[in-house]
Amino acid sequence: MSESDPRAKTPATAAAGHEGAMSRLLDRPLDEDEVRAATLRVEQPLTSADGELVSLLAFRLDDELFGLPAGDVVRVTHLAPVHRIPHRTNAVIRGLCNVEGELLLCANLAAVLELPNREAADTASAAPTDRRRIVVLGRRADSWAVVADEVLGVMRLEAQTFLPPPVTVHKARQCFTRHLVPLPDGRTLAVLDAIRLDAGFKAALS
Amino acid sequence: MSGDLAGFSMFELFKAEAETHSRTLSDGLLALEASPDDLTHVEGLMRAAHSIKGAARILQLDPLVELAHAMEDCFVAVGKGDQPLPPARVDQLLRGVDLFQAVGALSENQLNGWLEANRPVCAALASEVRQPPPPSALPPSPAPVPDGRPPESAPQDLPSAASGSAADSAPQTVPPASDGSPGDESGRAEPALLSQTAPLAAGGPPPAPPSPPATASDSSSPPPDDRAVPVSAANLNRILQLASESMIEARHLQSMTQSLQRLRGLGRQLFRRLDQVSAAAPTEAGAAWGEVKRLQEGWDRLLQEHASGLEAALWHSERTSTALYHQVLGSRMRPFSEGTTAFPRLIRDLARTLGKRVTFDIQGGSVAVDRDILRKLEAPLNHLLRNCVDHGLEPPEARLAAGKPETGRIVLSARHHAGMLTVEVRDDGRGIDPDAVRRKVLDRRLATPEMVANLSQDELFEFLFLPGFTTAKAVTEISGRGVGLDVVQSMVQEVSGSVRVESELGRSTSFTLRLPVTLSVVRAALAEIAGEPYAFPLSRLQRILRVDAGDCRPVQGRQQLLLDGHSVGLVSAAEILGLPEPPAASGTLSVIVLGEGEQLYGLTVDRFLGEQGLVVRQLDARLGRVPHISAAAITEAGAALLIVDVEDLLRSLQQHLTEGRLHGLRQRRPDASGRAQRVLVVDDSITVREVERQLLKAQGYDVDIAVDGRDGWTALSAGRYDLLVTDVDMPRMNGIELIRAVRADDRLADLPVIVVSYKDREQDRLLGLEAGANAYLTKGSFHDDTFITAVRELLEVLG
Repeated sequence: MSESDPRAKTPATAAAGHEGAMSRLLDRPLDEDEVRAATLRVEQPLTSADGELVSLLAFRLDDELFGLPAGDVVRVTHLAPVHRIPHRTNAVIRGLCNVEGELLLCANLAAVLELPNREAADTASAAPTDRRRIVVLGRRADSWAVVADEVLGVMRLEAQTFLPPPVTVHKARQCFTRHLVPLPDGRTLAVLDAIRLDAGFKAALS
Repeated sequence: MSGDLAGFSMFELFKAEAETHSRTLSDGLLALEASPDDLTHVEGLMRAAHSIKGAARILQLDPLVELAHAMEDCFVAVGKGDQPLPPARVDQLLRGVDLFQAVGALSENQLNGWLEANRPVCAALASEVRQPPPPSALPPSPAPVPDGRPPESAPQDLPSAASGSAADSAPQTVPPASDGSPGDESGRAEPALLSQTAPLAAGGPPPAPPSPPATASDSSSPPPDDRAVPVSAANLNRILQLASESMIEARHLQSMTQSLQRLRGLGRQLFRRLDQVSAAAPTEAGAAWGEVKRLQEGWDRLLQEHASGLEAALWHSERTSTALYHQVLGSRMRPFSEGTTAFPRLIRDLARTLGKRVTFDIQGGSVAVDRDILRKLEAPLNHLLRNCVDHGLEPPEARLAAGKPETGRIVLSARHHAGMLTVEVRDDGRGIDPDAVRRKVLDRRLATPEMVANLSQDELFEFLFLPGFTTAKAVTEISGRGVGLDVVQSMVQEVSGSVRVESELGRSTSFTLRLPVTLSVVRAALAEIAGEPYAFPLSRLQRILRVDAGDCRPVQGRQQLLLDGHSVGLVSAAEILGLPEPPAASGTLSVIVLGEGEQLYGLTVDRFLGEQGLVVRQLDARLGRVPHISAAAITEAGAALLIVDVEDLLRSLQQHLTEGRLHGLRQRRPDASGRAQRVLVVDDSITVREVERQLLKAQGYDVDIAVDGRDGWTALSAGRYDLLVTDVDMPRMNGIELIRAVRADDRLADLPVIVVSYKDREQDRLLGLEAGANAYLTKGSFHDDTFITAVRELLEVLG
């Protein structure tokens, strides 16, 4: 071919070399520490000039809105049938479900929150229009799958609008609620405490 | 090829070559020694020695060049028939192989030091090899022991020599099989070599056995695709989860092709209807009709293309994902032969040292074994095989005198049987004398004379697995049988397997290890119970039946089924699992028959769901031990299911049926103030259980029994006890684990615990007390009132 070939090739090869190194860097498997550090970083509430912003995963149970700090949510996924566990399943512990190839413990969020008049959710029949979703919360090894009637997405809300839960709220719910957030549309969202939820679920195991 | 190797130093290349050719030499020498007339191996040996010589010359490793050259000449002479190949000469040549292997294990900066240190060793060996073969060894016979020790004395000296060499390299923990080559030097007592090679073995890593199974083919460099690479278990598990998930998804997509076909059917109906409409009003439709017809054909063709395209893609996707899944699963399995490469040499060397003649067979080399199990098997097999040569087989004269062939035979075999991997080590030696074991048990006051008299042979041989049981010289017939047998037992128990000794005095001894084929996959029958799938491992099933409800008749208020003349008690699976019961089935019942012999139980389930291979997932640790459930899995359809712990279930069935706990028939004992204190006795030996039960009953205690740790744990979880008496060595869950579980449980933390074990060493006692036992007694304590005194004290103080 022509003489210009070698010259043309040199920068290209160099670039390919950089690219290789770059993708090796980006594609390298993360160890647990790195993942934890990254999670903590992402979990940090973002601050802006207007005040502190907190990311919450908002979801609905019955008519009520709840939020979980985004850092406490592992993933949101489609419904899966729950298999009861003999001698362990009770009002709070529902059983095991297959969440994307992983068998997770499934807990009844409505039960620990003592939501009134709630019928037992039947997760086995998942029509395409069904808005219910599985929310996996907690930390990697200690996670729980719970069913939300609808997931509204991640909201970024200003921390200064958060109110302490009023004393009048139902006792059980107060125990798991960290803040109440009035939304612009007039509704109120209860921010749940993932650590206390985890303790509440665990207490139902023993 | 050369490009691939450019990154390696010359020494690395030499090491790889030395390793390959060393294997060829070692295998070839053993084969040639076994069948001296078969000269087909000689050529391979010549070529291997020649190759090492050439490679060593390139790197100027002169001592090795000289040695390899001498060995090559020797092989040439043997091949021409100019020289015989007596065992003493094979010894020399194998020592040469050891030296090549030692170099293969060096790092580059160790090389020069090693060469300096071993130059005289190589030279001495080379000149030995160039001498005519040692005259004493003609014709090949077992007599020549290097130090001229008469073979008669060997059995007595051996325990110290063999256990000594093992203990030197790694006390307690068993050395890996590669210990067989360099480590054995000390056992073989070759003064010239001993001082040089022993430190070498300690310094450098032992030569790792290459992964492909040994064959005598000379040019067998290991195929690069077959080498093993380390992968973290967590990573492999996640890959397996994803592979099974992708297979499940591919199957789900099948439903899409079906809906596409339905769409096509709808289209046809639509056009047929249009046809009818146009027939009704021919003039208006006339012009447009041709257009509609064309559209219909195009539409139908396109849909058909899509449907078949999708079908093909799905077919491929399912095939690929299924293949991926099986490949990932299979990556855990290796051929049995991969774990046995070191054994022929081990046995050959040991037999030579002892002046014994042995043929060694490995059967079932291609049997697939989980790599974790294979790795764990290496140490126990090493011990068992050493024991066979040391103590199992008699010296040739004794064999001849006993009317047996002079050459002893050891067989190591592996096979799959009833869903388990069975590994057997068998010799045709002197066997184990049960009376000698009895005497030994009594000497060490491990049991009372009455107990010993009542022990079955199986129970008696259990004593052989106690640490240090037979180290004393007094019982010569079984001396040394105890070396390492406790190691064998603990490994086997670790993976929920079992080990048995069988022996016919004067004829044979066999050790049979029954192990799970894999720790990760189980074949199971699936059944629906209370609307959800459960799995019953096939290895634990007796039968699966559909019976007419009319064939079951109630006997004393319980449903019974007659099966082959046996009465089988029927129990609803949902009831025993504590699940809401589905409406009683009329017509046919689906019954799973569990149990053994006379003790058969029928479990009624909603319906059968077929058979599947399941990837076993541990239950979430937060659940603790769940009664009747051993693990979880995901079905081929992607649903979660639970795997039933059949043994645990059987015990519950037995209790439920005998105590009438089902159907509310159980009669509760009134909790009067004068309630007898309840003791739970946990031991896997029925004799010991009975002794303990009777001693305690005589003192007025209520006694319940459990047959192993897990059974005991179930009993403790279910009932209230004032005292726990437990053995240490038990299958499934040992006594130490049981005590730890008790102490970790809030409800049971204060329960007094007495350990009664055969193990009487100080470290065993400490282990028991550290785990949380209040007292540690040996089974000799039944002789006097030590046991009862301890029971009384604990119950009075704490009760």
